[in-house]
Amino acid sequence: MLNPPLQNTASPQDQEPHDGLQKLLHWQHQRRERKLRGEYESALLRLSELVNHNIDAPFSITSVRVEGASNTRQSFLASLINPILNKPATTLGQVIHTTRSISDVLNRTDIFKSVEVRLERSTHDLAHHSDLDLVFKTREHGRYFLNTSTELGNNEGSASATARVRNVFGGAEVFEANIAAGTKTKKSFRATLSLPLTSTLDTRGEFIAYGLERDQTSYASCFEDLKGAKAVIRKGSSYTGLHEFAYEAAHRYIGSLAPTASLSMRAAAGSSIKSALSHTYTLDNRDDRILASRGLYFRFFQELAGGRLEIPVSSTSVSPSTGLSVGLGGDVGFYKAEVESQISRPITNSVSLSCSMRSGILLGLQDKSTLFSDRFQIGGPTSVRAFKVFGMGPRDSGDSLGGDIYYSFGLSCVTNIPRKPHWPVKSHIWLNAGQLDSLSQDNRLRWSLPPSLMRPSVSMGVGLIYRFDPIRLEVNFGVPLIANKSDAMRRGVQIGMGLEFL
Amino acid sequence: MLTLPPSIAAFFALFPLRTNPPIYPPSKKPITAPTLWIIPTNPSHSLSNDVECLKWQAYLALRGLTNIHIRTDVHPEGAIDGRLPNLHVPPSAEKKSDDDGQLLAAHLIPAWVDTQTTTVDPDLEGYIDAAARDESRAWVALLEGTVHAALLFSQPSPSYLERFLSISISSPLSFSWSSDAPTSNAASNTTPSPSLQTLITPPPPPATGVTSLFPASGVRISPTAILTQYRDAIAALSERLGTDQWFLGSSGPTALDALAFAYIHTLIESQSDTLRVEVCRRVNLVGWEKRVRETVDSAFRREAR
Repeated sequence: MLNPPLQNTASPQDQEPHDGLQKLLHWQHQRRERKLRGEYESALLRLSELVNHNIDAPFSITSVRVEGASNTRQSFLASLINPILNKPATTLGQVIHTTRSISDVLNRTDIFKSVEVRLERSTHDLAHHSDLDLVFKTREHGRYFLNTSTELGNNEGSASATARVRNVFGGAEVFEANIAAGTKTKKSFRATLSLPLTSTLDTRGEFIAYGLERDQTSYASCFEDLKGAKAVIRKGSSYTGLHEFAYEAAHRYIGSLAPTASLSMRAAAGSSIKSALSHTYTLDNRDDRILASRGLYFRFFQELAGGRLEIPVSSTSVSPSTGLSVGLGGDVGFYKAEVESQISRPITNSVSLSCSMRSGILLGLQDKSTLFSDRFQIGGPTSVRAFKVFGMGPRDSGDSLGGDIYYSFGLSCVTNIPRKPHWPVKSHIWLNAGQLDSLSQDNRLRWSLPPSLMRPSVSMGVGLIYRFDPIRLEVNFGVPLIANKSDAMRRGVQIGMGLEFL
Repeated sequence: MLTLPPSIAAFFALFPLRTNPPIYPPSKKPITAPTLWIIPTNPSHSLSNDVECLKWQAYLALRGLTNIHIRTDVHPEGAIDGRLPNLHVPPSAEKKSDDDGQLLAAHLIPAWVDTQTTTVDPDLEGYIDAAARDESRAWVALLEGTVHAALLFSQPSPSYLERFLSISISSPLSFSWSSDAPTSNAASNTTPSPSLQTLITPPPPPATGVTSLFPASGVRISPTAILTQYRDAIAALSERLGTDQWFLGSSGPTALDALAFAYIHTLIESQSDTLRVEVCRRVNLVGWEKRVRETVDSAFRREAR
């Protein structure tokens, strides 16, 4: 058959479109990507076959080079890499394993933006053909970060500045300083130097200097000024168990009392120095820290401040009546322990149950009564709901004085909004209970439990939870069912904002 | 002002369904006797180390009040307006349910004393005549100016750490008497506290300025001038007291006697040799202080805490 001139002679294949340029371009793009992906996958397949077939081939590492780490100390890199190289690699498989370990530890320093690795034949004159050099091509993060911000609103203005220096001394140290001030005389500063202590980077040390002024006029008619320093050693991760050992020295000052301050708060005014050792264990494997539907959170904190131990000395040069006095110093002495846990379990696809518990005890040592700054406070939207913020426990003329022993319990049933499971808003019904009181102590350091602990205050209600990352916002309607006569209650609507809720 | 609808208010009134007894503060005791909150005293007696507190202790004792408790565990920041002393008085008979009583600032103490004892003639204020009353004003100015300046100047300056940790500035006429030996802070170029600058007559000149490239800053305080004025003041005080029983020839103690006792006692207890010697060499002042001290000390007793 004879075709006339300008007749379309195309014969489309592979579903090539013929009714529009855009469709044709899109088809060509997809086809090119498909081809590249195929080539990549086949290359990868060939490479893995090659590696697998030669996994036991004799290879060894002669040197490791890290390129691009201009601000990082060579000794620091050596301290990370040498322990990995201590176990010599003799096969290709072991070389690849070593390469992956070094790459992992370099990434975990948080110094580098990218780490690429090359295996090169060794350039050494006496090198065997199976000797390899590991070359890590890295790009470091920027070292300096500065951020300033000002905020105006709610009849308050505040300004803050944050400065961060990464890799300060070339050993993955991070220095961060933050200072903030507000019109309501709230001021704070915090400087932190963090550095790795071991070559596995599992243990880090931190030196912290801080100062802040807390406005406590709403529940205790006073301001509290804190200035202190803290040295911390952290080991592990919160998912598998994080241990934190710390020493803290802090100067606390209760002052600027409101004219209506109670006599108990007036007696609590003044300064105190705390010198304390503490240990914290944290385990957190919840699926979501803000709004968990499954998982466990457990935290155990204990602190010993100023405890003084008299050690009798039987040396001939010292009279029998004298002895050594060992203590942490400071003018407060107490032992404090606090435990906190939360278990979340899904019941159905849209309903989960969350059960949480907090408890703590504070024991005064050396015949000293406990101070306001160290005591526990409970109540409020993030604690026992339907009570005012820190509105439970011993109170004097409207001021919450805090207590030495407490417990609080929370049960929440969280559900999705009907037909909107993807929304960050959930509804919940909750039941809270708790009690806070003081321990009575005799002269021989014996404490007796107050009978009020057997009569908890109880509240319940319903509400909405908004996952306002990184915090949680709650709007609840609740009422107290059982309360102490001295408790400050909050019937009706209560709004809460925070990280940890009961 | 928003008010709850009656139905909602009625609903809220149902809760809590059960009310447990209140939780009381553990260390709170009902007040049974007038208690003066003062800066700590020496263990040997009940007199405060702070001249302002001691002044009010002397005032209460010399007005004839006895059996007054003292409390020394309250920090000045816990006092009304951040200044001690404060007087904590039991609730009045018609307000017996109010266990807390009433806390009075120092300036309200005379009015409370008037309700407890015989009132002083408001015109003569206990002095023998109007001239003596007017003269007392000059002695008060001398004690609270020249003598107080010498006391402040002899205090050791706080360390850098103390200044860093301190929050509030001490009130001008209230200070703690440190037991530490005075340090050599008498250099005239150091910037003294603002209270000292305001006490010195005539006001001290700036430390720099006239011939300096830098703007005027600081003050130049002459230690010699302060001590000279102090010596003259103590000599005049001794001469005016003479062999009288009370200052200005009064028949009974007056507010000036309370003030003079507070300063003379503080100077005698002072760690500064220069200040102490100047008083101790005047026999009449030492004897008068000893006699008044016994009266004042016997009027107070420490509160068991």
